[in-house]
Amino acid sequence: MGDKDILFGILIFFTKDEKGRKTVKPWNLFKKAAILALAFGLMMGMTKPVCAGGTHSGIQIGNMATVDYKMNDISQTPIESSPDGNSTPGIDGGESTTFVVDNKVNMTVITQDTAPVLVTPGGIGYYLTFLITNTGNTTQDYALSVNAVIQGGETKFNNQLDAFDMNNVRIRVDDGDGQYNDANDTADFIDELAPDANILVFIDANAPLTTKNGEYASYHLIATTHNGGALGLGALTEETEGADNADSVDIVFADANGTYDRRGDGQFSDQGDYKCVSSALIIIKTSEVISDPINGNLAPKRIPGAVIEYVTNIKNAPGAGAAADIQVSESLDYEITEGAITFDPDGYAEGYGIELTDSAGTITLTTLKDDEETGGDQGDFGGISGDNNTVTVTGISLDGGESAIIKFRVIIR
Amino acid sequence: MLSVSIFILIQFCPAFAQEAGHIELKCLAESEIEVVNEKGEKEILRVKAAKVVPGDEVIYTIYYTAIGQEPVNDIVINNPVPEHMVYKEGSALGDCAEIKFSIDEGKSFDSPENLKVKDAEGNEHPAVAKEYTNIRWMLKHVVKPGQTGQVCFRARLE
Repeated sequence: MGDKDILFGILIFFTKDEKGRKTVKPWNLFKKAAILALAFGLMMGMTKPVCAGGTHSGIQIGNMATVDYKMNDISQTPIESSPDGNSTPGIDGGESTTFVVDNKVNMTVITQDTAPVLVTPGGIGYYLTFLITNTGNTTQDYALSVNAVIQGGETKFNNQLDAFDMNNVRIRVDDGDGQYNDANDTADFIDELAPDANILVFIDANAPLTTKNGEYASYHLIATTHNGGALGLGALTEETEGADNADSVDIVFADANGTYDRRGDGQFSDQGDYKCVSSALIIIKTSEVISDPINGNLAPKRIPGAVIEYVTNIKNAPGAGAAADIQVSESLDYEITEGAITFDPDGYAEGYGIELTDSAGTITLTTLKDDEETGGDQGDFGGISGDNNTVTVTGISLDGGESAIIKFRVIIR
Repeated sequence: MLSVSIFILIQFCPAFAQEAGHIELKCLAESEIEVVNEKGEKEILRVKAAKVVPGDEVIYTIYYTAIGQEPVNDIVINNPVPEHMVYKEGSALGDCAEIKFSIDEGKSFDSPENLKVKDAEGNEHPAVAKEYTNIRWMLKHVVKPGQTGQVCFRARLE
């Protein structure tokens, strides 16, 4: 229908459209004016009557049949139908049989994470991401809530079991830029989500220090439908019970069941996981007699003058997070002060008393004394002020599955 | 202004009111619901279309009754497929009626097998039910005074 048709419709109080449809009573001027305004609004793109979720609620669907016939083989004036039966010939004699499209409440909540979100013990600001889509036919608000999976419950990913809870769990709604920003994404409910529209929602949380490598914390995000139509969270949307009214918008819950809700309850949910990835260092210390003054290197015994080698094996468990800046300190102060042992400053070469084998298998011999007095060497003995009689090795980095070995030697007095 | 004057005369002056025709035409819109009867069996009932949401099917039944003193013949019932609704293929029924469909807002009618539409590239393909715009029943029999009949179709709300 073009602009000219609308103007003509105003003057003659409507003709049928090209399909012969009529949805207004001829005597109701105000209703006609309202429908004209609506039609004009539709033309101007003010509203979108059909979406993926179907025809918008509140739209009146009208139907009218027309009969042509003859009597004594003479064509008669056509007659239009009405809900109660019409026999008045001519245009506008009938009345549409109508109903109003009801509110089909439907939505989806789908995690956007394809794997657990990795967290480090004590870390903050880890977020799960969900996409909430209004697949119904009415603009709605949505309240949002989080349910922590009980310990031992199933996770979303990898068939694991929930083992811990995150701290300071918060819900945040995206401000429209498609990414999480704690400063800007401050809403904790969804306001006025139109049919077909979607929005990201985040669960933001901090990792407790106590969590261990490989543990999971799993959460459900639940969206609950509330009435739209005004700023702020509207009243809880409730399904229409009892007899329905063809002339008003009833509410029908058409939602499926998510991970933490039932089918047809006006809610939908999905689940996301946090996984702790931290280093898992295993330290094994052993000692071995290298030589003694009597037996030399052949079956040496731990007797005065014997050289004892201490071996510290540091291993990061397979699959664990990388560990960087590992520092190993071992005080020999008591034993040396008591006169039990002395540190062998030339254990591996003249002036090199500490041996480090890194994760790549590279052996480094380090000096006896820290040249810089600040721990700048990777291996030191008593190098830093106040660290007398302490073996210190710094700067070790180990990925999961890697190991390093530290060796030094002492002499029994 | 002339049109408005004519409208006012028609609406408010009894002398211009039209007399009743010879057919009464009634249209019902109904939905089907499943209920459990007294025997505990599931039963499909038709109720007035009230709770209708996208995807639901509505049954439209058009009743015709000859209310005059003379028989009527060559009855043709035309029903546009309601806006926002899609005709359900094969659902149009009517005793002793030739049923044809239109895909051009009622300008022309034909049997489904003869309805063709062109796509954006100009290729022709058989029309599908969702492209039907109008349904027409041509009754082949004479309807006697007092006689009633019906035709019907189903459509799904988009």
